[in-house]
Amino acid sequence: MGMSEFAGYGIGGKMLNAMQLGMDVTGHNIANAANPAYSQQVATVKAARPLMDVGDVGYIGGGSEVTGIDRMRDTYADIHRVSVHGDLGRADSLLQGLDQVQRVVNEADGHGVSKALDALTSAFESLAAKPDDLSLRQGVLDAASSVATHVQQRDSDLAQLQRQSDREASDGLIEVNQIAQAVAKLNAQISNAIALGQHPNDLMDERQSQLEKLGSLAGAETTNMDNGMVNVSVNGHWLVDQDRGAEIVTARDPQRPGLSLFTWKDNGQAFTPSSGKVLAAFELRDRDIQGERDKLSTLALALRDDYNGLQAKGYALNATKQGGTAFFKATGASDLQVDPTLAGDPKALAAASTPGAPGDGNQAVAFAGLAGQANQGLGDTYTGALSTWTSEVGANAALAQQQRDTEQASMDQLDKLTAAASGVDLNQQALQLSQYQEAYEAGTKYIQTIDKMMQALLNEVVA
Amino acid sequence: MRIAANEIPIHMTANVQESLRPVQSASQQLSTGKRVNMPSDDPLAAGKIVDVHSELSRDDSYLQSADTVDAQLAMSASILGRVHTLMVKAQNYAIEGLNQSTESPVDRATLAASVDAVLQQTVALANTRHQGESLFAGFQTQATPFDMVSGQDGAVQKVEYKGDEGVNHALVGDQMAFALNLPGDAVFQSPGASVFDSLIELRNALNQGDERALDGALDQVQAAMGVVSMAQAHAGSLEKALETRKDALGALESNLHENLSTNEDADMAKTAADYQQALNVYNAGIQSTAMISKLPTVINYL
Repeated sequence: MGMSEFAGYGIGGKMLNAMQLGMDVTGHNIANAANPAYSQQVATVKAARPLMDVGDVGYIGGGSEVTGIDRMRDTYADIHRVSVHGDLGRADSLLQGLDQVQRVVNEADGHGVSKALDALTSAFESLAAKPDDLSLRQGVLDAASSVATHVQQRDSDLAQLQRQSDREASDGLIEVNQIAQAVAKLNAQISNAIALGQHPNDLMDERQSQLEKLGSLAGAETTNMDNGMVNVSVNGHWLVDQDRGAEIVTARDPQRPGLSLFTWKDNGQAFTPSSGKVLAAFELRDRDIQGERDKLSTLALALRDDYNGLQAKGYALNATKQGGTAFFKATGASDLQVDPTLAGDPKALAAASTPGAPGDGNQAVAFAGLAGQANQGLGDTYTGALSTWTSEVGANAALAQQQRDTEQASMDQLDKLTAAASGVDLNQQALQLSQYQEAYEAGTKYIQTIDKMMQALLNEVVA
Repeated sequence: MRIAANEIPIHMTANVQESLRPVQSASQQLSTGKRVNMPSDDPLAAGKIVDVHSELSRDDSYLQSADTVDAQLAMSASILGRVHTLMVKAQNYAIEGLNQSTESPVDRATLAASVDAVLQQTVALANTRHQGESLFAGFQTQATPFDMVSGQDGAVQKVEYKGDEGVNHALVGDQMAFALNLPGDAVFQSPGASVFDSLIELRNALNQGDERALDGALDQVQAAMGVVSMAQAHAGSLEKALETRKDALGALESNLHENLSTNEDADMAKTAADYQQALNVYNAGIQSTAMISKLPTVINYL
């Protein structure tokens, strides 16, 4: 006894299904050809399980079927994609941030603190020749006030950049929290689907995309689990554990007004990103911008100490006692100002080196000489320090540009590798379409033939 | 390596944007005329530019101070010259007084009156103010340095110095301070060579007809002339030193401007060429991108 006559229909039906499915996959590929996150899918068409013939022929083929729809992916490249996204995200953000910083502290444009300091020195030199001239005295105080304003303004601008970086970090972490939840959910969906024998290819594409986003934000170390889930950790602390996502909490920093502290919700430990935009934001906020503010404060205190020192040793107009008021008042760059008592009384400026000597401008000469002397705290003259800092900030920004270019090149290379495996080639898909279409037509012809045979059998035998 | 058609547009976009960067950079240099618009354009040059700007400012300040010193020294020197001329006159009166044969009390009285006039004039000159401030009062620039004290007969008996020994300075270089003034008592009331005392003595000696006193007065007048002369010469040599310093400052300024230009200014010809080249590369890039994006695939022919 042979196979059932109806087996032909089975083979035909299976074939049509298989070719239809193949066309669907091809259509899906073509539809997503422009989607850079999409991995091309390939329907694996295999010979169907053979039917056992109880006769002497043995196994008879059962047609073809789609045994799987595989996602074409270079998994080696995928692991690197997440980390390169992190490096590139960090380099990009650092570059943008440092560019802004260099704009704020640029002394080379001729409108900076050093220009104001030179004007103050000039004012003192003019005063030295006619120390009892009240308008020249006022000129000195105005110039000193200008120095203080420049320093305060720059500090304020830097503080604003710092708060901006802080906001970028907190915005980034809000996104990290959201993505962690999304990845956890995708993990659950993917794992369920795989357990049911399905191929959740598009979900896996979505998850890869989210992981790369996570990497570009805070850096992520991924671990592939056997159940199809991916675990994620940041600097050793878990972010996604199977189907659970961790949370990062933002709070006000009590020691730094206007800035934030970031901690893991589960154990209160400080959150430290390993890479990405958030790491760059931290670095800008705590290292680069804070560094510039610290330098500025060092300058402010050096000015305060130097000018106050001379003011204390000199004599005000017609004074018989030394000093009287301070010259500058400051605890740092943010509050540097001319001492209010002095600001309201130009006569109190100690231009003389001897008492009761209205024509003595020798202390003013000493004030003017401060610009040419190295200050101990700075290790250089005021302008020397400012010019060194300008060079440093420029060098850092230039280096950041180079690093970003390097990371971009790495990313480009990875993109090529990924596209080689996963990219949709319209030529290939078109040929595939052609193949499936012809096979489908051949299938329908086969069914027609089987049908004719069946008709013949029924007509001749039954009728 | 397999190249998927869909990856090409992604990379071409990035490459085109990348090729815009040198165009933008050259364009900015051309419009500002500066090579260094941001410290990152050339960090070392940026630092040097800051230093040079500051040195130029200080140089300018020193030049202005030098001018101030110059004006004051010139004024002082001119006054000393006039005092010296007056002292020569007094000297002549003294010599005339000593030629006894032609002398009569009336003549000596006339000479004495002339000497008194010289006294008044020298005191007035010594009390000269420059821009409202006494030149020869040391630090007491608001005070009138020399005060004439008259006796019961109405004639000036002594001149008192109301100033002090202070010497004011101006900076004409780093650590280079120039004296601005000469204290009046050192110039006009040097012990044994005092301008005013010698004139008072001369006048008195002429009035009294005391030949020995006249002789002594003449000696003092000549000694005082010597002191004034030396002060004048000193002022003169200070002025010469100042001229040299001003020339040096001028030369320094030229050098600094050149230095600044080297570091800061764009080489316009080269930058224009760079701009053109960058533009060509960019144009080639966008044209080829347009062509590739239109490449047909098999789908077009199905």
